[in-house]
Amino acid sequence: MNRKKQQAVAAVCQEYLDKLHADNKGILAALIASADGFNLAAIRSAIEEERLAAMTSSMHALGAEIVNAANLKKCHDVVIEAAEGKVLMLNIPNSEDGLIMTVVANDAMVFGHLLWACRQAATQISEKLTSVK
Amino acid sequence: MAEYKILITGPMGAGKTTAIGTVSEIGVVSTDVKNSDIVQSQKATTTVAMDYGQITLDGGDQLRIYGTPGQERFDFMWKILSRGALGLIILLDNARPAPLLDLNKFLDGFGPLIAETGAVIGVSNKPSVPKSPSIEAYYEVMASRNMVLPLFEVDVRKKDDVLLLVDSLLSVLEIR
Repeated sequence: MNRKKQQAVAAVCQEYLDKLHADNKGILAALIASADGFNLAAIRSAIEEERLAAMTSSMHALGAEIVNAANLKKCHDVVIEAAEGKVLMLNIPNSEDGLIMTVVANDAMVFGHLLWACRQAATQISEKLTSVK
Repeated sequence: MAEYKILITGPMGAGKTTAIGTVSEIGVVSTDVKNSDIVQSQKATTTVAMDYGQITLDGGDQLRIYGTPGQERFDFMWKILSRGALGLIILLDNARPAPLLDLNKFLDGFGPLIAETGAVIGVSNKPSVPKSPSIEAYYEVMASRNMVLPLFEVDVRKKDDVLLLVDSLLSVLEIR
């Protein structure tokens, strides 16, 4: 991906992350990372973005390998439920470099709603990226 | 039957995944993804979590071999994978821009593991790889840190070369 296209992709990702955050106050952090762990876009949070992007890459790759070992075809999402919140890592469908969206939410957010909102954002990003040249 | 765990680390493109694939008796568990960092390496893929392979030692004991990601941004995986490891193999590559800095980086990054266990170093000797820095230069780096680790020139595509590193590491660990 050339630099100009990378900037255009990052702008699309940022737009939808900001919207996701604005619509869901329980979201504490969110970013979109490349498959090899580079941060493309993020909402401001207390979490170090570059580190979270690298961890996103590792976690999703491990998820994909487990899915592969279990013959479940393709890893879509990785879910972490914690004592005071949850973390979702979602594949952005059909993205050229296998983009992954990570969202950290507090425990006030209902998991089903979080999953629905994140999947909707991922789908919208995917659709918008088809027109980015 | 006992099971032992060792790590293989080193910079991006040094041959960690290849080394494990060369000796593993099982299909290598690999977390390679598309590499977008062509400044670091021209490789098409890169390991972002770990590689995993197994070999059976004389007597039937199992050796579990874990490969780490090479880039510092994945240093959290270095700490995770170090837990319970008996020792470390560091792979280096003279084709990279600054192999001696790479050595320092991994001696620092795995300092606690090396201090507690042991390590050996493999430097790529593929025909296409530059002969500089010399082996003496690597030993000088170690000497400046008051360290002496066994160092071998290896081609990680060759099973005997990788097994040489593994056997040497096990020998180092035995005499500690």
